[in-house]
Amino acid sequence: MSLAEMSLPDLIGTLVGFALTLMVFSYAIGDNALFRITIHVFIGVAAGYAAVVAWYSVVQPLLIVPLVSGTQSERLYALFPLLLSALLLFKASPRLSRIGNPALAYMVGVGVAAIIGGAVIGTIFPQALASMDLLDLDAAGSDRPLPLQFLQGLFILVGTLTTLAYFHFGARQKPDGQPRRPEWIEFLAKIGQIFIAITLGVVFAGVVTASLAALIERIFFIVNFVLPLFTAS
Amino acid sequence: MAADMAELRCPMCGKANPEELDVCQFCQARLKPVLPSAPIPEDEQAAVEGSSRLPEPAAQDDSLSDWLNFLRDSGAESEGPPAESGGEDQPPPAGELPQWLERTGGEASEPVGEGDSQDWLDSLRKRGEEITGPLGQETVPEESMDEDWPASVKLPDQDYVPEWLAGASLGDQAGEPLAEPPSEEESSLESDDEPDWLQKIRLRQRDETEESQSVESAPAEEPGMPDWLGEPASGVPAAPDEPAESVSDWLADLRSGGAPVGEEVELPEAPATGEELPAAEQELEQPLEETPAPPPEILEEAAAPVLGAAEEIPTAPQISDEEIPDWLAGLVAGKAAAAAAGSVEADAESLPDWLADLDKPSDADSGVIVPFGEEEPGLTFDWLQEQVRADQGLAVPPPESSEAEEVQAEKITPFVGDLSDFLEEEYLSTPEGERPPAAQPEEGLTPAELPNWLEAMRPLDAAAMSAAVLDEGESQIESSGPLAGLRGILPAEPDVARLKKPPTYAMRLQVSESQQANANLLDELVKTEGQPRAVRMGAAITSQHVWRLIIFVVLIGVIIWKALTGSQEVALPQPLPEILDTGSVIGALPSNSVVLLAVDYEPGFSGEMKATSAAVIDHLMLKGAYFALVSTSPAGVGLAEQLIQDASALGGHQYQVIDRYANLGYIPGGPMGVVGFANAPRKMTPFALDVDSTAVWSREPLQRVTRLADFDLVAVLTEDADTARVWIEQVQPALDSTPLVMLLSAQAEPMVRPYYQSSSNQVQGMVAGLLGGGSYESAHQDLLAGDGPARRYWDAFSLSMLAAVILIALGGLVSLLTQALASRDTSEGEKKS
Amino acid sequence: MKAPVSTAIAIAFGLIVLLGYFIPLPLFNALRDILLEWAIVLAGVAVFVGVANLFLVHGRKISRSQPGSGYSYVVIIAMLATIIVAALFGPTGYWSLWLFKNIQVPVETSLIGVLAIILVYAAARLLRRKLNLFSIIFFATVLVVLLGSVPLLGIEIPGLHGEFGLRSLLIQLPAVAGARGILLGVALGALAAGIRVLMGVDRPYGG
Repeated sequence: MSLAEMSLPDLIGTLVGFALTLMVFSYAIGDNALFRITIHVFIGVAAGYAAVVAWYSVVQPLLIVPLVSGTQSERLYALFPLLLSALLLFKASPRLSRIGNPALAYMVGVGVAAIIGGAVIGTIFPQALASMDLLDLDAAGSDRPLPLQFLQGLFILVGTLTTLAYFHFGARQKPDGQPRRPEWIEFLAKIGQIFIAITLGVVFAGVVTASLAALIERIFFIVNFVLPLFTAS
Repeated sequence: MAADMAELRCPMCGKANPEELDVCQFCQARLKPVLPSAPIPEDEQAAVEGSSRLPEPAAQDDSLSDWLNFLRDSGAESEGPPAESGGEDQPPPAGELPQWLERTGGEASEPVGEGDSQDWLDSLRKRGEEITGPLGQETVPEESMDEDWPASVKLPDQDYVPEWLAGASLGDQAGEPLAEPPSEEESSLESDDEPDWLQKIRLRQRDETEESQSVESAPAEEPGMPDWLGEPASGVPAAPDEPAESVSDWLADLRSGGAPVGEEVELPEAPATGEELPAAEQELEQPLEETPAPPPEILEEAAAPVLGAAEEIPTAPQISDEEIPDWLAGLVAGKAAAAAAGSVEADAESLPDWLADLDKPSDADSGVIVPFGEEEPGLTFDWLQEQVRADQGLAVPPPESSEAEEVQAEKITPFVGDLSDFLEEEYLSTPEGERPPAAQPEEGLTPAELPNWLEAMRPLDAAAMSAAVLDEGESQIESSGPLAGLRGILPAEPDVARLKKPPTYAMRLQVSESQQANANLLDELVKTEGQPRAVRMGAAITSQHVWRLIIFVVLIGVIIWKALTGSQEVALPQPLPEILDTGSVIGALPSNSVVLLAVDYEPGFSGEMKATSAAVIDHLMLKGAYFALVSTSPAGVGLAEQLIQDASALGGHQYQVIDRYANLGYIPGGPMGVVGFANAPRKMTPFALDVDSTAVWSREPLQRVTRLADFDLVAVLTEDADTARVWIEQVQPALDSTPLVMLLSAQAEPMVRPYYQSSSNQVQGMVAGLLGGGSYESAHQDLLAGDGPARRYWDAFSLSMLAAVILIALGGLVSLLTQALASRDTSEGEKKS
Repeated sequence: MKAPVSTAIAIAFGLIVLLGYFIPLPLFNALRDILLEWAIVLAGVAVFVGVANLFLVHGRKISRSQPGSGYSYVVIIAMLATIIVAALFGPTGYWSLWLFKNIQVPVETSLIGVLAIILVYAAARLLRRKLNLFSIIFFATVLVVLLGSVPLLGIEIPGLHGEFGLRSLLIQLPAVAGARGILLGVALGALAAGIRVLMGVDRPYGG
């Protein structure tokens, strides 16, 4: 959308965005007050927006509405979270923070259970099965030649196992007093370290790619904002 | 408490002993004092009562036993050589007990037979064995003698000579051998070393003698001690009716061993009397008047035959002739007379020494004052001394016949060391002529050593202290002043005030070089700690600034150039497998499908995510999909709204809220929110976030959706690998056959690919980064309306990416060269060195 | 044990939710859904607690006139303005989205864009900091992946680009192996940490 097609709020908004973008880019020169103001504005806006979203998405429909306009069972159903929520609010006060411990404990307990269940059912079992199926040529389902599939499967399996060996930290104290892992684990860990280096390299490349894309988008925004000003004239 | 009642605590060592013992079985200290207050057995109480008072002169006190009175009278008359007292020495008629013996009660009243005469001796023996105890040690069994002797004394007929007095045969009849009495020389003690208790006894006896004229007899009621042995003031037991001569006859016969009657019998020497003792001693003796003790000489004489060698027993004090009660002295004299008359058939050799010694004239009779410890051995505590020596491993001198030896003054004192003050003073106050001769140590004898418990009772030796002080003064010779050169001068100033040059010590510490270096280092650290460090102002422009500036300029320049030119010359990448799979999944969706779109990326990645997902969303919009938008982050609500609006605007799809999409809002809690929504989406997001908070679940097409698996497609947009993992872990198990597609940032792709590239097929499609978006656009060019953001950014992206790679490679190359140069310089430096 | 009530609550409710994962009984599922809903409500309230804490911190900074309190004014003003506007018009209202689109998104996007320069600089200086086998492998992988992401001056190099190029091989084989190992390790670690919490050994809720 060009600047001429924009409404006034959009134009002002675009102008504000442009200014804030430049103020953030000024950090490339060094830390300055404009950058700090921009950051603090961003923090305030983000916190305020999050609070409003939480109210509209969670508190109002799941807590306020049942208590106000819900049936009796719905009201009773909402009393427990209301009580826990009241206790949790005390966490904002350093002195009264301990009052909110039961509510926080409830959250932690349920959250931990969800993490454990998801880790076991969503990652450990499927990924372990996938590692085992790497050598199952029938389960591969690929149009690649079987030897190639086998080698690929073997390669991935070895990489997976050696990566896990790298994270094995069970060491015993050797005669010289230094704790060391067994030799064979140490050998596997060295190989796993290579796989990990490659994986992290790929991840780093992805981060660079993502940030570069973000930079490109901003630059395009600036150009698209400024260019019409010059071209329009 | 009951246990305490049954046992006695030793006053010295504190250990428990059976009640029946008189001496401690561990340290041989007396458990029961030799005082009238000490309890005596009940069976002897009656006997004691009858004879618990000192004997009175027979002529004036009927309560006293006759024989005791006789003895007293005899003793009083025998200030000089013992005189005969034939009447008193007359033995009682045969079969009858003397009255003094009758009053002892019980057994004593029975006619005395030949066998009965041995009972008292047996009792003495038994007592001595009890006192001896398990360790074989002996103590002065004063009380034992005291308890048993009166009750078991059987006064024989006048002509009757107890078999035990007959000598060796007594041992056979009694069934027990008789122990030899202590030797004569061992029993002598110095008068100066007389223990207090003995002196008290002597004093009391002297007083009893004096009071015997006026004190009426009264039954002794004080328990513990028989009156005839210890109570001078409480009354005098009834004197025996029989004259004392009859008693002393047998006793005198025993002593003389057949000596004719009339011969003087030397009584054992008595130590210095109470008159000779200093006043302090006399005062100390006062309590003894109330708690009389039996004459020690009687006890030791009676104990000596049965006790054997004395161990750890202090030297028994010798009793001067003056301290010997008159009754005993008279008894001796009478016995000597009877023996002289030939009525005594005793074998002189078999007589115990202590009895034989009774016949010997005492120095007191002859007016000679024998120093303490120099009396006849028969009346001394030599047996005790023997025990002491034996315990301490000293040579026990062979006992000598009391008849053959004279009393040798042996300086055996219970005190080791210098004399105490009062003794020394007493000795000095005595005129030289009256002073007892100095005790000469007998050949072969070694001084006795005190046991520990007695050593502890020893008073401080003032003489030693004065001698020590004296020695210190002696060594000091005055060096200045008018008294220069004199010895023993008291110092003018105390030692503490004397100025002395203090000893000089080397202040130099012995430290090694390493310690010194460490100390210097620590010192420097401490010094520099308080000093403010000068802030070194770095250069305004460093290599870091240069590098950043170069990178910034290059990248920004390239991007601006491409943005300005708007070139789209670089071809979009070829579709990758995951792109094709995603396309396949979306293509397989039915019309008016309901798609759950989880917008879970941060606003900062909105540019990339827009480029990544724009083509996919456009494709879905082309399929007429109804979008249900959710987010696990608060910002995702706005991003989702913006995403749909931008995609709708870009593709010209005119997507309106509620009609074509519903923003279900924010699901907090991370994993537990996702699994809660996956299990019950209606409960977790009951209303849409539109102005009216529409209950979209009751409207089409969400009306048919009751669980997550009812959605036709679930697409997750996220830039975070962990968020993607959470959605996969929590949602995928509940999807059944509903496909799951991930629209990811380039940084999240490596960690999500294992889910896509697994046999479990958890993720059916994946579009990652600008490359994925461009690839998707390239694969569906014919479907999409126009160029997507990926197309617009692709040229700038490819050129900026090339520039970034060149910069990175250049930086790496520079780093390698720098390292190589540095290592070469280091190696050259090492070679030169 | 400190805070036994909190510990008991965490363990009890956690076990119920966990059992719902492995025991597909309707009762367990219903109970789990109720507990999850309550936990979601609490999580939403926790957002308010965080915002309130932010408000109190900056408010305290202003009241004490601490250095930098001027920025605290900016934060509080921006927060209050956003709350008022978003509360009036709703989170998806025009002006709410105006604030979001023209303030929050540009700032965050700009910050990520600046990050690109920093990341390129860090990659360029990588070998200078640490030079060993693994750093070289990492560096080479970054170069290959970046180069293989885009055509070089419009030209795709066969050995580098494409489905069977070096980039694809790196991403599909060793990176997947390493990522799978990392995912398994992370899952096992999360399992162990979660069990410790459910056993009461770890009490991150202040017990």
